[in-house]
Amino acid sequence: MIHKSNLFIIVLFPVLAFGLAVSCGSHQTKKSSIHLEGSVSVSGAFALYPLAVQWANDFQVHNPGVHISVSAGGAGKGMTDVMNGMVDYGMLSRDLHKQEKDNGAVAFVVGRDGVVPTVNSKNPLLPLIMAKGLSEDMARKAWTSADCKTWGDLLGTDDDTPLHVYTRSDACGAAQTWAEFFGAQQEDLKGTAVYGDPGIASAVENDIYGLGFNNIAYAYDTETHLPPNGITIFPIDVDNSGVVEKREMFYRDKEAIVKAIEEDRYPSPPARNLYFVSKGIPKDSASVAFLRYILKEGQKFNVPAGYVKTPLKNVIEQNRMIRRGGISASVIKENNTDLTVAIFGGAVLLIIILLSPSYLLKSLNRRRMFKEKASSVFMFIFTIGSLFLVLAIMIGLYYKSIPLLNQSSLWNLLTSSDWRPSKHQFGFLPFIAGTLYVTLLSMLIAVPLSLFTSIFLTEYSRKWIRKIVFPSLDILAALPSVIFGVWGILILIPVFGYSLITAALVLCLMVLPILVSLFVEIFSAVPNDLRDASTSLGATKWQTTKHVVVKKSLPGIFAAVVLALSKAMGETIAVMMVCGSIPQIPRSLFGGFYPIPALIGNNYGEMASVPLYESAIMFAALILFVIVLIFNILSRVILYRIQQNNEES
Amino acid sequence: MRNHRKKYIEEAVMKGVMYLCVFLVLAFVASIIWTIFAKGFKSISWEMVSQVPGPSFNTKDDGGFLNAIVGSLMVVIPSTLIAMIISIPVVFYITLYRRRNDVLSYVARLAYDVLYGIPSIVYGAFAFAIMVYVGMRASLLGGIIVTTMLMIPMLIRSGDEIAKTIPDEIKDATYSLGATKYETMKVILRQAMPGMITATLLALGRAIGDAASVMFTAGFSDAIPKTLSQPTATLPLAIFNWITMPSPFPERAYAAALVLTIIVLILSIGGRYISNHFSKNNL
Repeated sequence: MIHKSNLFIIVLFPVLAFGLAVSCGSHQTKKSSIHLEGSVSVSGAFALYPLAVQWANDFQVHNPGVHISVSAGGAGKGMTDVMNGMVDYGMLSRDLHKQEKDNGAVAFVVGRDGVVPTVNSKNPLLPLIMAKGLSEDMARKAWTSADCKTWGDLLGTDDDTPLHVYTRSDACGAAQTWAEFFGAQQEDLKGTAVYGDPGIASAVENDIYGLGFNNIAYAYDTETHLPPNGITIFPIDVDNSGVVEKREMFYRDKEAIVKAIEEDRYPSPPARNLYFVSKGIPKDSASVAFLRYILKEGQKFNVPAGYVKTPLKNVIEQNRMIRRGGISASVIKENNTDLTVAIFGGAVLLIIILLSPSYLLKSLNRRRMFKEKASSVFMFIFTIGSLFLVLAIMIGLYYKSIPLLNQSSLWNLLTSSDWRPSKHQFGFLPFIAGTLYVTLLSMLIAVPLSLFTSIFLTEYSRKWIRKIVFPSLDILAALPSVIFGVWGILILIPVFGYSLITAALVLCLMVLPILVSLFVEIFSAVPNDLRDASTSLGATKWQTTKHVVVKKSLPGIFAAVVLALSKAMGETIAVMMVCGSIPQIPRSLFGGFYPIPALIGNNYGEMASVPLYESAIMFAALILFVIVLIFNILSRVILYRIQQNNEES
Repeated sequence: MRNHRKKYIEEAVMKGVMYLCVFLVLAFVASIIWTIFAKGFKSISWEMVSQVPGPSFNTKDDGGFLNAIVGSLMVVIPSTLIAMIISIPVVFYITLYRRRNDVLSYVARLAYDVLYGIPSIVYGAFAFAIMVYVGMRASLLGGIIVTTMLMIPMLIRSGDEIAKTIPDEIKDATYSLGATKYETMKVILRQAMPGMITATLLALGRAIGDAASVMFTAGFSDAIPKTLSQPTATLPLAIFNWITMPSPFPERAYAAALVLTIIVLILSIGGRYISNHFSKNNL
């Protein structure tokens, strides 16, 4: 009995002490931000990241007491962070949605930049392109209409040089701004979708019939401030006169276009504001000081970094806003990261403490029994606990997709192909079809390839061939998916473009090692007696293989294929890098498509601030989860049965 | 007679097809390795792997991606340790503590196989949703948690396979000496050690190359994180971001891809070496 109470105290005390220390710690940090000390955190769009880093560095030099952390990712999730009160400022390169404003988001213009249309410098029609310019109507035709297939259609001549239009795959400010130029939304844009600003630049650079658009930061070289080799800026015909006048030619170098944007000679959109967004007007002195610094001293960094200064009228207005403050008082800076870190550390500590009494018990037998019981309980808890993870994921995803399911029926969501988030239409058919097509196509290539390879390895080959093939497959299995993506971009994209076939080939390679190792295992399980019986009847090796080995292992082959299928279905990064991201049902092998994992990867971070959109993304994850779950259970149950049969025989 | 001829022709054709398939597989592997190494060695420099990004990293050669290398290790190594702490007991629980053909063991195996099959992007999205719910930023800890979740099923699955290979006689011998299950476990653990280390190294290799899971959870930053609550860069995400960026960046992506490939290959080859080398003395 004494032991038990002792144990209780031993456990409880450090946990309490730990909790106390944590709560004290968090109080201190809150108080200390009065004398321009403290921390400011910024996260969000890649478009503003380089500039924000420069501001942060310079500001910290002048105010050593302030720590500023700037974070950006492929999916800059600034808006989500801000709306959940996790960071002070989110970097944003689009205007706020109405829902976001209603939820108290306030945007401060901290700079501007512009989006310019680009063409390849070797385009055979370049002189005409430069003379005519791109009017609003032409741009609308090129990016939204289906019957603009040649440069002749675009320029109003009967030339039939093919026109290859590029757009962005990720939810981003540049594409949205460009679409707004001709009164559209990003989701209306047609054309091959490429990930990231530089993605379009390199696509246009490598395609002489290409037409794309770029932020000026990427359309001009960072060193020379001239357009990079291979890319020419398509001048915009601002006054719709049908020709580019001299006053409309301000694309010579970066300085010229920056000046044009500053003086509003370049239309807006496609010139755009870049924002720092906060939830309500910022209150704590460090955040306010940083924002003021950006609006004043920080502006000197804008032009060298390829951005345009904030217009003076915005600066004055925004400074007034900061001073007045208090429009929305709901500023709760909630950052539980530290608390979570503490809980996490506490949990680890707790486990260690719970295990320690075994060293305190004196009697050997009691100690042994304690260890036995404690380990049993622990293991049971771990096992059950981690089992609940499956359930937790399913429930969590379902819970998050309830808003979407309330808005439209499940059947509608799965069978409609209308993907227009801004109009609240979420049809998942293109994504489901894209996922199915690419996995089936990759299986079509991978299954015969791996079947023959593994038959060769088990039935035919000599030892030395196996010694080469198995390690190579091990290497293939070890390579991360991002490496396959790099390989796809470097080797396959120049041949096939962003297309179904590229992605299928990449996926095929990724599932090859899984398939081969499973097949080899299954074929080896076929007893040799059967083979001998067959060959003794005069069958050739292939006949034996076909009629005995393969036939005997059919259920196993089926299970292995299903397993590989589910693995291929969830593959994200490699496919995302080569898929083209066009939300429509794929019609040709050489066209782009959009699988579910890429949808999640491209949009989740940026769009999670719009509740219905977030719900849609979570629903996509749920679809993926359920498909993979069904496939996995199916194949596993078959494989278990085979294993049991093997053990029994 | 004709029938006879036919079956030998078929045999020869099929053999040809098989040689072609094996050749294709080897050619693909060679192509990937060659591409990554050729491009990588052309662009890599000592500066890239030994420095963090400098202030003008975005425009010219200023610093490297040490932050991503260290960040990746800082995410993966703690995750591996935690995942081991959780998964080794689970493995022994379902193989040793529970009776054969036990329902819980069956369900647990199925569940871990399913968890193993869940795409990492789903883990990432789920973890991010939870992080938003509890008010946690993209941080080193977020990356560690999601990577741990990713690694547990991998370790349990391979641990289970290894435990199966250990002969029942060892168990019987320990029990007959009056050992408890816990003590038996220690004996078996010693037998399973080489296999477990191999499995761990392989899982480590998988985890370090996974970008989809850390995409939302670990964030991205130019500095090496000093605490668990700061965001961190990771190698795969760096490659993914940089490969489509303007001029100095694709070279960095190639170099980073080379570094990542080398790390993963060392882990993979090292793992296999250990299992071949140290399992000789096993029963």
